[in-house]
Amino acid sequence: MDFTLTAEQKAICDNVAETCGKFSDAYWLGKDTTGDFPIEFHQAMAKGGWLGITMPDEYGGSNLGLLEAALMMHQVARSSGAMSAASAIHINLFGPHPIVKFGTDDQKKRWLPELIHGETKVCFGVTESNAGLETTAIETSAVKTGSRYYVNGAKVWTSTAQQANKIMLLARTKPKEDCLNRIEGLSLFYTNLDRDYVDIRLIDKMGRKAVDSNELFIGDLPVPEEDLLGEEGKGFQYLLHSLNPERILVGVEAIGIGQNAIARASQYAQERVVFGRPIGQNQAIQHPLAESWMELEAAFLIAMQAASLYDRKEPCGLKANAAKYLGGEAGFKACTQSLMTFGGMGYAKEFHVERLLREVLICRIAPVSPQMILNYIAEKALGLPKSY
Amino acid sequence: MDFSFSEEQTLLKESVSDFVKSDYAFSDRAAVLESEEGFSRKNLKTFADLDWNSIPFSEEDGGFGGTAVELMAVMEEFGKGLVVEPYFSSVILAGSFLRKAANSSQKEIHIPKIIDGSKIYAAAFSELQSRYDLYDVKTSATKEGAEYSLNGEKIFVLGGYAADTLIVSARTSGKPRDLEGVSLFIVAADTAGISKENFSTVDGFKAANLKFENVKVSAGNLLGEEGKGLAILEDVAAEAIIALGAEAVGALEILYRKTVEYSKIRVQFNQPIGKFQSLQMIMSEMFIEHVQVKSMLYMAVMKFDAGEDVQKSISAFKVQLGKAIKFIGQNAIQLHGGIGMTDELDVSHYFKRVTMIGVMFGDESYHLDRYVRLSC
Repeated sequence: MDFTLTAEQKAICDNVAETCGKFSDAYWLGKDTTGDFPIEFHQAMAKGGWLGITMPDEYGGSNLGLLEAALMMHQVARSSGAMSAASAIHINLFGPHPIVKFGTDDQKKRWLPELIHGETKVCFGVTESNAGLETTAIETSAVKTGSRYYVNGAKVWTSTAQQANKIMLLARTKPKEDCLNRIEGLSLFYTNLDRDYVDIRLIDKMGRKAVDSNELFIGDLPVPEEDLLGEEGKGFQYLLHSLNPERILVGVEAIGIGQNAIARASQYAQERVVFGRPIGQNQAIQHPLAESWMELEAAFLIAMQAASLYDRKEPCGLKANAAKYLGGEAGFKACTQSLMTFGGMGYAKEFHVERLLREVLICRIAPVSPQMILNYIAEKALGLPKSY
Repeated sequence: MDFSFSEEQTLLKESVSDFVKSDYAFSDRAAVLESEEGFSRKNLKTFADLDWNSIPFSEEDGGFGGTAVELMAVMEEFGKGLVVEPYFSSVILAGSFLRKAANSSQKEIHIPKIIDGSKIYAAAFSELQSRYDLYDVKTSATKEGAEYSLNGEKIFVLGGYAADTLIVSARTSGKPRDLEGVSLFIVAADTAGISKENFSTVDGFKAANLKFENVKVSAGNLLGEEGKGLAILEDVAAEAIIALGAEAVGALEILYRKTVEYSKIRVQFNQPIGKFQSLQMIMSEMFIEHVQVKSMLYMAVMKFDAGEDVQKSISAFKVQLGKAIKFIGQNAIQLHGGIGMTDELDVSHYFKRVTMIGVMFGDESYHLDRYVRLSC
């Protein structure tokens, strides 16, 4: 059992931190105010080769594992950009995973290089308002006529659709009632996001303002059959492969944001003097911050363990879910406590911790709620009957 | 809205408080627990002599005609002293069945015996499978001519160890969990066919599990209408929660006060631990929890006496009580440290008593669920 990072892994952390460090508090507060996509940051990360960190080297990637990706995203989220920075590039890491795993050689050649270089931007059309976490309940349909599918339906919470020219799209190709089980009948497409057929509406939201979230209304979107990934009807199974990585990454992102918040609060608590001494000398200030520090460290370790299991191709579902749960909860608590440490100033945008709190909340909600994780752990780790 | 006690109520509270202070020191109580019966007959006589047994009974039944406020006053003071005599189980709990359901001749026979303290009564209504559901009754009562024949088992009969007379719930019709068909009986504890298994509870009380085998009870000892016992059981339970809850509120007050006192005298790193902010914060919250649960108790008592929304406010109180018991009880032990775990210090005894009260007549989650059901 060795908890040390390799020289290469350390270099990843240092380099990513250095790149992220070039983007100041003022830069990210500006993006938070205008809602403009952090294109400069995205380009800097692409230029550094970070977008293809998990992609195969024959297509220009670095072919590194999830552990390295997690280390990288931890550093990104720990920077001032928090979730806005993380989400701007997050999707490049595991979004294209189904292509790597299930795409044909031709598809890989067509799609991967430009993704890795940051030339194409992809968005993800999976969730629907009536489906929520019950992904198999989606209603968007793809009907084949000749050599084309025609897609109709609506998607929600599609990130980066304002910039994207490609979409990874989940749609039903076989009516639910004709399917043998609930995971059958859904297919995955990677295709052009043609705005002639897709109406994209921005959702204004609480945090992560610089990375857009959208509602998509899709009407007769033509999809050539060569844009179908793998076999028809197996799309949901393909997606499952990227669920664990996503959970681990969201977990470490929450942890990074929480650590940033705790660092800012500790700094402030040393400087701010009330009743003749720094407020950091009060146990009411110290203890909650110390508690958060421990929770974040513990959550980080389980995330690392989950990533290491994944890279060794061992089952990692329990640990991946635990990492997302613990990270999300600890990050949220740390940000809240940080804001409370700042007192009234924490409420002011110029101290940035209120932004971190708004940014971290998504990690509690997405990609799966804490309650669903508790259900999962109860069922899979404890052997208790399914409750829903 | 008046939260102050009348002069009479104040006098009553003071007389119980005086008894606890002068005759019920921790060492006195320890001696009582060591005794064979586990309580003091002498103390029971004192309760009768000071007329505390008559408090819940109406004036026409020879009682004092007290309301829930008087009950609360007595029980809160008993709680401060961890009084183990079967006052609650006999006078309040068993007595409550008689007050609410007995006919005049039954009242005439039984109530004077409770008031003068000559006999001890106990109520047997829990069964192995029933948990907190008062209607979950398997024990059967079959009518045979002018008699009923009782068969079944009752568990955790508080004060059952020393009881002369029992109030027993038994099913005269229907299935075990039917709401209808539960009847109540007055049964002499020495009736043929009753066997007893006595045990001590963690909080220093005594209880019994009872077995009924063809126990004959005359129809004249049916308490209330046949098959309509559930409403009475629910009324009785509401009053029992107020009484036990008041006892717990008294005990919780002692727990937080003792913790604060201890924190001022226990020195670590050259300073009393009470100077540590994190401990001060916990103790402030213990204080707040106590005030909060005491306020909920007052609300429940007032609603009970006014007869409005009784069951809902009782459940709300019991939920808050469960929270307060955990928070104050557990932190009292935690802040005392190792010494809080010992038998020599009274803190652990208070903790055990309030923990028991926390689960009696329904725990926190049971009452939260019940509150939700009553609100919809």
